[in-house]
Amino acid sequence: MSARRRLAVAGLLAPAVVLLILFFVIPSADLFRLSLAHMDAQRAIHHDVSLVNYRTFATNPYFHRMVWGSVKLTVVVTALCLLLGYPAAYFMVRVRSTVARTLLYAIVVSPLLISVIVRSYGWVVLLANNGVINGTLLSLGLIERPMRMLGTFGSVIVATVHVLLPFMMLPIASALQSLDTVLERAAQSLGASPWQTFWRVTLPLSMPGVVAGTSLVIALTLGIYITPLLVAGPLQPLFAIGIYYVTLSQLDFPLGAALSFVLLAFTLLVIALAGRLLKTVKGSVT
Amino acid sequence: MRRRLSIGTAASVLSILVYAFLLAPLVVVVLASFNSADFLSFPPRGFSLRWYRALWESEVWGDSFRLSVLLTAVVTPLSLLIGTLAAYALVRYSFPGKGLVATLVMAPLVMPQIVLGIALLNYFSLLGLIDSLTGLMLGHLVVTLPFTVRLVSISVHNLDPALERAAQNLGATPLQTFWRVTLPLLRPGIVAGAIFAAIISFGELAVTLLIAGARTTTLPLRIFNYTEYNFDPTINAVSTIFVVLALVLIIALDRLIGLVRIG
Amino acid sequence: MDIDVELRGVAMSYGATPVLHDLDLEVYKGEFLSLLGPSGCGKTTTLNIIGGFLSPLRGTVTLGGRVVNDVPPYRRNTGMVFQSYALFPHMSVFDNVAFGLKVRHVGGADIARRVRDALVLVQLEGLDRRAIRELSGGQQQRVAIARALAIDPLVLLMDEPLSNLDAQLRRQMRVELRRLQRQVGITTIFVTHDQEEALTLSDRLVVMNRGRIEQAGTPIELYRKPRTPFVAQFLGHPNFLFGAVAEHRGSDVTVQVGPHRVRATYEDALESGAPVAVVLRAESATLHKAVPPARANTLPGTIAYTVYLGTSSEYEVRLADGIRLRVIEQMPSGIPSFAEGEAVVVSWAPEDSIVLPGSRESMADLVR
Repeated sequence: MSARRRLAVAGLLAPAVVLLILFFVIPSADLFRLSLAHMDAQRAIHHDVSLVNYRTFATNPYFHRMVWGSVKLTVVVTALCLLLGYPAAYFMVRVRSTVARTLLYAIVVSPLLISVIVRSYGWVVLLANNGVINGTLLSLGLIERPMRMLGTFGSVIVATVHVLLPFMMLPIASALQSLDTVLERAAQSLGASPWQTFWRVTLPLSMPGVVAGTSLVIALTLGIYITPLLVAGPLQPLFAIGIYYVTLSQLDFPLGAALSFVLLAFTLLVIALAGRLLKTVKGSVT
Repeated sequence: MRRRLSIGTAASVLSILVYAFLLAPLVVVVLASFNSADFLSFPPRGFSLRWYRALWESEVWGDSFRLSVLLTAVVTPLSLLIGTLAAYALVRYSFPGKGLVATLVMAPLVMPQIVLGIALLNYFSLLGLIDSLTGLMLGHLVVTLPFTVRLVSISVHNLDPALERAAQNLGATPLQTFWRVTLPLLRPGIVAGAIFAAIISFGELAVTLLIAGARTTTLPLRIFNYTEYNFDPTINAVSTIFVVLALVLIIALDRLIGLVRIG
Repeated sequence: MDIDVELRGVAMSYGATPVLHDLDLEVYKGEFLSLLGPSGCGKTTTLNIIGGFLSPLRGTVTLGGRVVNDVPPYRRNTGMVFQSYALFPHMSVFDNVAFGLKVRHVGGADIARRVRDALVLVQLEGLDRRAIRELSGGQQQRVAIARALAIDPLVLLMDEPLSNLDAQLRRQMRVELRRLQRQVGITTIFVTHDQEEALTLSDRLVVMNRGRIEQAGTPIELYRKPRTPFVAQFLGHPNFLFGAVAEHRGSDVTVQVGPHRVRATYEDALESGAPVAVVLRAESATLHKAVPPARANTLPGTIAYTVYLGTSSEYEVRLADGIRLRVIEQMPSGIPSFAEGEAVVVSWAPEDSIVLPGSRESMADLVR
């Protein structure tokens, strides 16, 4: 590559690279340095290198509860997104009218364009004691007292599923769309019933989309905090909320930094595993 | 065929319920914004625009709205500029370290938003950029850059290099080629990138929550504060603006690149 | 003879557009039947109706003696070979061929045996563990056939299965296919737009046009005795000579074509002066440098241009009054006999042409 070309490439990439190094890489590195510091009882920060924060994480049962809470949430939310999202994605891809399909796509994509605060707030409106659901049930006489829905783990599940469902549905829809329907015809011509066709042909061939969607939802659930914060408060046992609480309420920045890196490590692990799995799955269906 | 299997019908019913579920909180908020009562009631008591009037007259909401618009108006073109240049270089050329740069550009997507927020909180407090417009702008740039790069890259991919070669063959300098040939042909990706960058910046909260302050209360941040601490039905009106904005953008996106391709 | 497939009064529309009009068709046990016609004639639609992927608007579909209008495709026991083969990319060759057996819950040992037999039939034994993407186009096609045959279907339905192969492979596969069908003895319905293919492969041929059957019969019948102008122009390279009946005695007809009197044969009645077309296939005419002795029909003209095709040459001959005739001559030596501008005589025997009643206007859209 000529020197001129090299200069041009460097020039094109420079703004992005400089921006990201200054305001992404260095802050992350500094955060890691901070995680190795520790805060004493008088709220003073000592910048000696130690693993005390990580040890705290490993030993303190409060954090174990948080991890467990996040794991529970992730499992439930991912399962629900899969069970609800797959049929809905299939429906959308196979619906005959293009107008209907565009409409359904709009319903799936538009939440992504609306700030997460608005979506989460909508659930507050629905689930509050004086909210829409309780209001309707009360006025219909189906309940006598408002049901407590906000502040429960259930409300976190519902709101999180709502926020993350499009991330499950879009990759699956994409995979189903690229599936040649003649394969399903072939299966039927050989005697496979609709259910057999789905199970043996459609589902396996849509696996890359399923893996992509699932790993995305898992990664996002691990780090979710605004939605549960709004819908259930800062005391919910969830990892990201724990980070928020430790850093902003207890002002223990080093501990918060350490927790952040634990979360980052978990997330990267999920993404790496998913990438490996995706490659294997893709290889077997193309 | 004419016959419908019961599993198929059950799945279809489930699907429709899922779509209703996706719409539910949004529909409810939009309806509540027109409710004349000042508490949440369903069915709504009466039709009224009082909350929109209150929004219009409110100083704090006006400030937040102006701030968010300003922020978006600054972040979007910057993100597009930086992103387009980077996208072009990444797709067109190969060079040592290309993989590293590509990973770097996409890295903000991989990091949980709270971790990025905490990192910037720590970093910006050292630099004195907390509760500053500059800090917010930088934070939003980092968050939106992967999207502008990715979306413009798609257009660069679809751009036949032969067109640029033809332009140069006819006498255009590299700069002229970029301005007259490349850029116009990258329009779909650039527009999509602009739309995504704008909407992400306008609605950004996860990072903003940690680095903004009283002087830089963006619209999403104010909604968050109001929801956490006091209750004001004006929030419904503000939220409805977000919903309407999203609808407009959906239509624009469909016209430009066909929605079905986003997945 | 047993009828394996029967269509009675089948009509079909896509939305408001009719694609099949009142189709009646019988397919006999063990025969190789081709549905031949240009694109849009309805042949693939017919195949899909037999396979159960489309429901006809009217009419009955009978397979093996039972009416199957309400039977879904996965219960019809028809084996279909698709144009794109539609092999399952996520399964090996073995699993693809075994698919129909697996969904019928056939036992493992039986599956292995039947898959092996099917692969032997198509001469792909030993390739059962391969992935689909490792196979060539020709091999993939054989797997598709093996897969359809493995389920032991009542009838084999083939939708232009050879059109994705290159010319050389196509010719080879044609022979293969014929041998295979004869060996297994399975009733086969073959859809194609290639008349050469249909003529070579079929026991019987059905020519379709715009949703109707123009004519059904053996290849020789259709070639030598086309009953409609469409069939006449679809098979071979026909020349249409338009004129009026001058004399008709018994089966001998004399037609006045411009200034020429041309002799032909026609069995049925014809009115004197009735407009007819004498269809002369390019392959049926011969060229001579001078008037050959004792030949029934001779027309003098000049060579307008020649096209060299290797083992044959195609000539366009311009007659005195401007009529142009196409003549194809075989040249075993590979050397063309006539050059452009040369004066020649076109001749043919009266029984080698076909008489079709009708005027030039009525056949205008079929003739160049």
